Amino acid sequence: MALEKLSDIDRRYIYLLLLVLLAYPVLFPIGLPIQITHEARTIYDDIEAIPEGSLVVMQMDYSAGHAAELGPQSRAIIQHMFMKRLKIIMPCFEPEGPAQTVITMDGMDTFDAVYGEDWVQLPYMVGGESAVAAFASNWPSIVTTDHFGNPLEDMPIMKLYNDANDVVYWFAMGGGSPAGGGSYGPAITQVVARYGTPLGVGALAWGAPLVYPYYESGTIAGLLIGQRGAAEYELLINKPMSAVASTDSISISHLYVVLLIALGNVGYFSRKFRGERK
Amino acid sequence: MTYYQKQLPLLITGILIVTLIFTYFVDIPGSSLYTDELTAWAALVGAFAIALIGPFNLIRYHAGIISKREPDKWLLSVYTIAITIITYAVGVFISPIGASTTLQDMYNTLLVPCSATIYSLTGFFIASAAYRTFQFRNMETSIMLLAGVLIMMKNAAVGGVIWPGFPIIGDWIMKIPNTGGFRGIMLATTVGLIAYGVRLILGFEKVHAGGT
Amino acid sequence: MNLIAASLTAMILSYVYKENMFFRIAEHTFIGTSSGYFGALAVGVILNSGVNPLLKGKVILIIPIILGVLLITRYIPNVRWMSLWPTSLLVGVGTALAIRGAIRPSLVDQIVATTKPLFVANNSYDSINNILMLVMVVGTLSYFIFTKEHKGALGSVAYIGRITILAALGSSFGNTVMTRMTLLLGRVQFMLGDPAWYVIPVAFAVIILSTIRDRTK
Repeated sequence: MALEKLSDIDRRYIYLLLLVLLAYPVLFPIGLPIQITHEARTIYDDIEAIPEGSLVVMQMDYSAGHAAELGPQSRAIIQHMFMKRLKIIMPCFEPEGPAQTVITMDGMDTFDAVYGEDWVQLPYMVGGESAVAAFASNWPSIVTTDHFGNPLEDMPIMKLYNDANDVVYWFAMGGGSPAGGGSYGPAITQVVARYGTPLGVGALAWGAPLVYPYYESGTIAGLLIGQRGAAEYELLINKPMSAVASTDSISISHLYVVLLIALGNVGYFSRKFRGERK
Repeated sequence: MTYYQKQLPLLITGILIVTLIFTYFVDIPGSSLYTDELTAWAALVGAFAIALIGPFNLIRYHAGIISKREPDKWLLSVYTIAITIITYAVGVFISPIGASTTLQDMYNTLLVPCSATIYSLTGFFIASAAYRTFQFRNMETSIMLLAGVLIMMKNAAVGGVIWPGFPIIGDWIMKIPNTGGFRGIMLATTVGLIAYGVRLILGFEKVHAGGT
Repeated sequence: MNLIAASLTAMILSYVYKENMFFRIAEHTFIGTSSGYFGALAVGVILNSGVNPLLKGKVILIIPIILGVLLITRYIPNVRWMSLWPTSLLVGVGTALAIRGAIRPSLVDQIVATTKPLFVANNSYDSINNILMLVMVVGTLSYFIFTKEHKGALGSVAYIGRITILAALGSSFGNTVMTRMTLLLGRVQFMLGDPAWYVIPVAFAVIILSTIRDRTK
C-alpha cells in the first residue's frame, strides 16, 4: 500500500519540486562538466575554416516560445562569425524572427563590424518555402529594405550577394519539424538541394531526431541540438554565457524526470503484483 | 458552378506544379525569371492571407461571443478584440518597420512573456506524464521508455559524470535506431508527397479548389 | 515593462495550480497581441514587396495583389469561388517547391546513406551498424505497407520496423524533455531576475488567499 501511494502524489507537489530544482542551480551553480559532441564540433571547425571577409547567411527563424533554446545557440554562432570577421546577412522567414534578432544582438560584441558593410538584418519575408526559394535565387524580388527601413540596394554587403552560390556557409535556426515553414526545412530543400551550399542547423532538442537523418547522410554539415548544443558551442568559442549557466539546472531536471518515471513504475508494479496475488 | 469556378483552380494548380518542376530539372533560358516571379507572387499572396484572414477570423469569432453575451466570456472577447486592433494599428501606423521601438517594446513586454510561458507549461506536463503514464507495461513500451531514458542521460551533463557509457549509448541510439526509424518515415512521406503532387496535377485532389 | 512581463508570466504559470481568471486574461492577451503583431508584419511585407515596387513601375505585381485581395471573398457566399484562385496559386507553387526540393535531400541522399557497404574490412562496429541501419529502414518502410496483411515474412520485417519506430519515438521523447525543461528554465531564470522576482511573493500570496477562500466556501 505504501509503495502504491508513491504513484498517487498530488501533481502540484511534483510541479513545485520541479520549480525548486530548476531554480536551485540558478542561485547556487554546481559547475558540471560538459562534453563536446561531434555535431557541434563540426560546425565550429567549418566556421573556423572560413576565410575572413567571406559571406555567410544566418537564418534567424525562431519565436519567443523557442528562444530559451535557440537564442543561446544563435548568440554563440553569431559571436563566432563576428570573431572570424565574416560578412553576415540575417534573413528571417518566421514572423518573430526580426524581433528575436534585435533581442539577440542586444549587447553583442560585433568586433567593430559596420552595419550595412559587414552585417545586415533583414525583415520578415512571408511565404515559408516560397520565400526561402525567392531569397536564395533573386533577393530583390522579395525584399527591398532592411528591418529598419533602409534600402538594401545601397548597402555594400548586399552587392556581394546575388544568389546562394555567393554564400560560403548558411546557418539555419529553426523551431519545429523540418516540414514547418520558417524553419530549417526550406533551407534544406531550397538552398542545399539547389545550390549545394554547406548548411549548419540549430535545432530544438525535440526536432533533432527528425533532422538527424539529414546529418547522418551528409546533407547538412553540422547540427546544434537544443540547450546542450548551445552550451557546447559557447565552450568551443571560449565565451561561456547563459547556456553553460543553464546546464546544471537541465541536468537536475532530467534526473528528476527519471526519478518520476521510476516512482510511477514502482507504484504500477506493486499494484499489479498485489492484483496478481489476489 | 461554371468552368472558371470549378475547373480553373485545378488547372492553375496542375500547370504550376508541372511547369515549376519541369524548369527545375530542364534548363530552359528564362525559366529562372518565371520561377523567381511565381515564388515572389506566392509569398505576396501568403502575406495577404496573414494580414487579412487571420485577424478577420479572430475578430469575427469574438464578435460572435460578444453579440451572444456569453457569460464569463464576452468581456474577455472585448479585451481580445481591443488588444488585436491596438497591436495591429501600432504595427501598421506608428511603428510600421523596425525604425521605431514601439512595436518591439510591445513585443518584449506582452508577446514574449505570454508565448514563452505558455510553451514552458509543457515542462510541467511532461513531468506529470512521466510520473503517471510512462510505465514498463510490455516489451514494446519498455523499448520506447528505455530509449527515452538513455537519451535523457546522454543529454544531461550529469549523465556523463554518473557513467561514461551514457553518452556513448545515447549517441548510438541517435545514430542507428533513431535515424533508421525517422529515415524510413521520411522516405515514406516523400513518396507520399510526390504521389500527392501527381494527384494534384491530375485533378484528383480537389479540397483546395472547393471540392471534397 | 519588466514588471508587466513578470506579471503576465506569473498569471500564466498560475494555471498549473488551477485554471483561473488571471490565466484567461493573460491567454487572451497572447491571442490578441500575436494576431495583431503578425497581421501588422504582413501589411509591412505587402507594402514593401508589393505596393511600393508596383508604384515604382513593376506593373505585373498587380496580379498577385488582386489575387491576395480576392482571398477575402471566402467570407462572401455568392462569390466565395473567387478565393479559390489565390488558394490554387499557393497550393501549386508550395507543392512544386516542396517536391523539387525534397527529391535530393529526402529521397536520394537518404537511400544512398542507407545502402552503405554491409561488410567493412577490419571494422566490425561499422559493419554491424550498416547492417542494422539497412534492416531498420526496410523494416520501417514495411510497417507502412497497408495493402497486404502483416503475416509471414512481411509480418516479421514489419515487426522489426515497429520496434525501430518505437525506439525512434523513445529518443524523440528523451529529447523533448530537454526542450520543455529548457523552456521552463528560461521562465524561471527570468522570474529570478531583477525586478521580476518582486512578483513571486505577490503571486504566492494570491494563491494562498484563493485556497483559503475556496476552503471556507
